Amino acid sequence: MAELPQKRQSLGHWPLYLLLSAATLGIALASVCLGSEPLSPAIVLKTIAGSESIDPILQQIIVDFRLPRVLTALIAGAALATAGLLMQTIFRNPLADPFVLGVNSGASLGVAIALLVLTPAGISLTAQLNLSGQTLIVLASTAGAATTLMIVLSLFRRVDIMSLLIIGLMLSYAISSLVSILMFFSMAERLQSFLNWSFGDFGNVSWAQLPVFAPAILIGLASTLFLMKPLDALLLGEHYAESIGTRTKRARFFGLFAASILAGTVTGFCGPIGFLGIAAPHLARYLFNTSAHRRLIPATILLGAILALTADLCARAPGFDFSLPLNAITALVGAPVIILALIQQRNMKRLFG
Amino acid sequence: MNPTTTNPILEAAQLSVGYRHKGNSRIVLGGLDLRLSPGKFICLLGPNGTGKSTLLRTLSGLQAPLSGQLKLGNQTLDQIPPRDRAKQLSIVFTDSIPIGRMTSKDYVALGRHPFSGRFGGLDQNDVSKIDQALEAVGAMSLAHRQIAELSDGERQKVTIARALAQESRLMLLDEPTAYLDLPRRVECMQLLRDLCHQQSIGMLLSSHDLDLALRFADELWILTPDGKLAQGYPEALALNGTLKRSFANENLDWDDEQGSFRTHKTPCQFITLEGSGPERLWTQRALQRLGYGMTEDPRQSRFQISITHGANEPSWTLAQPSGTHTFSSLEALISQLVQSP
Repeated sequence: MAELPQKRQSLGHWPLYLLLSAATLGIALASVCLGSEPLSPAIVLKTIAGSESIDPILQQIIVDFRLPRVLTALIAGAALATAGLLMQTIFRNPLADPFVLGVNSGASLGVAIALLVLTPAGISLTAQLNLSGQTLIVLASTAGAATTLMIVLSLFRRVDIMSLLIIGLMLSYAISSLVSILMFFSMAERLQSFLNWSFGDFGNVSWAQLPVFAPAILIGLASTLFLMKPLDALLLGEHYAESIGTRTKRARFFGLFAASILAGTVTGFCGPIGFLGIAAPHLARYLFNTSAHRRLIPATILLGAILALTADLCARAPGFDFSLPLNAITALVGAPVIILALIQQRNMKRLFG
Repeated sequence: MNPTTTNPILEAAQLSVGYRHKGNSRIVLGGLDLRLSPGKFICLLGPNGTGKSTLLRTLSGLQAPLSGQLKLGNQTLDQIPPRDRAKQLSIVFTDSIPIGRMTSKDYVALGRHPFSGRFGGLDQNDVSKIDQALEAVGAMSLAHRQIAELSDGERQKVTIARALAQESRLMLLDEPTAYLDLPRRVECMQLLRDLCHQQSIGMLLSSHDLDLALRFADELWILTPDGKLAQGYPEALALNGTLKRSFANENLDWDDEQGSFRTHKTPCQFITLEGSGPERLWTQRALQRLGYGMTEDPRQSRFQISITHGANEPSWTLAQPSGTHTFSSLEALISQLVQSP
């Protein structure tokens, strides 16, 4: 452990980045190959390359079902991981996740209202607007997330950062209570559809939705480039950060905004996906042995994608007749990894001074 | 009284510092006229709770003044954009510094933030400035060590290096020696004073260490318990009684002869002491610590101690009503006094 940083210093971090990139591509390819119908990598690659000689049914499985799912997992994992990193730095708290401001609860309230109140009441927004049920859920959860975010951020100027964390937490509890009440009064079949949403699923995003989903996330990720420097400064705490010329209020506001947009978009399209956002940044710090965001952000993006792809692959349980809820798997796969990393690194408590 | 003559970097006129909460303001210090000039090493002293930290936070722009003028260069402090301010003013405060995973060099590199681009990239000039800063505090060997693994003294050096990397003309330090042991405190003060003079940085540092401040400061600012600020040369403030008025209390007496404070006990017994040299000084300190008072009058004293310097070794003679003893070391004398009250 003592010699490792020196060695990495001289080599630079590039080998590790290359390794992670290769792993991401490898797992992505494996994800497309494995499933209820196992396919060979050759067929998959040929299909992606646009070869005409492939069985149309296999082609459909690959192009219409597996590819969008894998792309979604990749993008969503990267987004949640980055959002988690931003939140952890901004709140200087290793337990912060992408949803500390209550974005997740807001989204679930939106979806609960749509599925448990409006639909049973016979109010069908989908019929008039000519939208699919899935699009309705996306709209409902995005609206819920955005409303919560606006409420919390409107308080941003009036309270300090620690209070904001607690306000977000309290708001989450309060909103979750509302959701519980709605669930209590709902019929079993409605409840099931809501529960299915709350388990999270990367398979819900179709080719039609990707052109909305992907750019929203990519813009969010790109904006973190401009946050690298102020985020580094925020590691020092408010006073020092300001003394080296950082506008801390502004940096925090944009950081929280970017993180919430990333997290809210993923929740909107895939449901609430826990754990990835906490786990990936810790893994990145552990592997790269740094707190500098210009190195951590790319590392976190790659690790988030890898974790999401792996969790999705496990949840689909290739070779078995069933699939598991994604949210159950993210923690099951991720928690041991984090515990291991913590045992090795030992100085977690000094992570944020 | 203001010994500063060169053009000041920071200038305050009728400054009031304190806290504002819901329309009520609590003035901690008021009516301050201050000047900080390049190459001046100023120590800010005062008992706890007199507002040293509040003043430093206000002067560094982290806290708005309640009233009065505060100018950095020619501009009002709170109107200077943070980045420009950071190029002129750096701080070393008591806020705990991070951080799980950061080397000293990465940490010092943060001091280049006011100069680096939007994405924080460092050019050749930045890199050499970082090395110079580490070099200047003698922390080159710590460059690749993790901050979390450094000792308090090493971390303080690196913190000072980070402030140096900002190339500011002014550095404000809040108790930079607080967590250090005595040799490290002396080293730290010496380092800061030398940097101040060599690089012509204006430095203001708060301290509880009156003794070191008296030895190193070009100028002292003393906050008195009644909310006033006395400024002047250390020796002048000692001589005109300002130090005595500010720090003496029921437990502490200013010793005009020694130029330091001594703990004060109401003596119940008096002793006459004869002798000279360092032996006399330390014998006197020991007796005072044990609660004896000094007197010149043999009739008041319960016993006499005289120090004689023989061929090469000093010896102590203790004359008591019960008899006279001679001791070859101070240790033996103290043991005897402790045993027979």
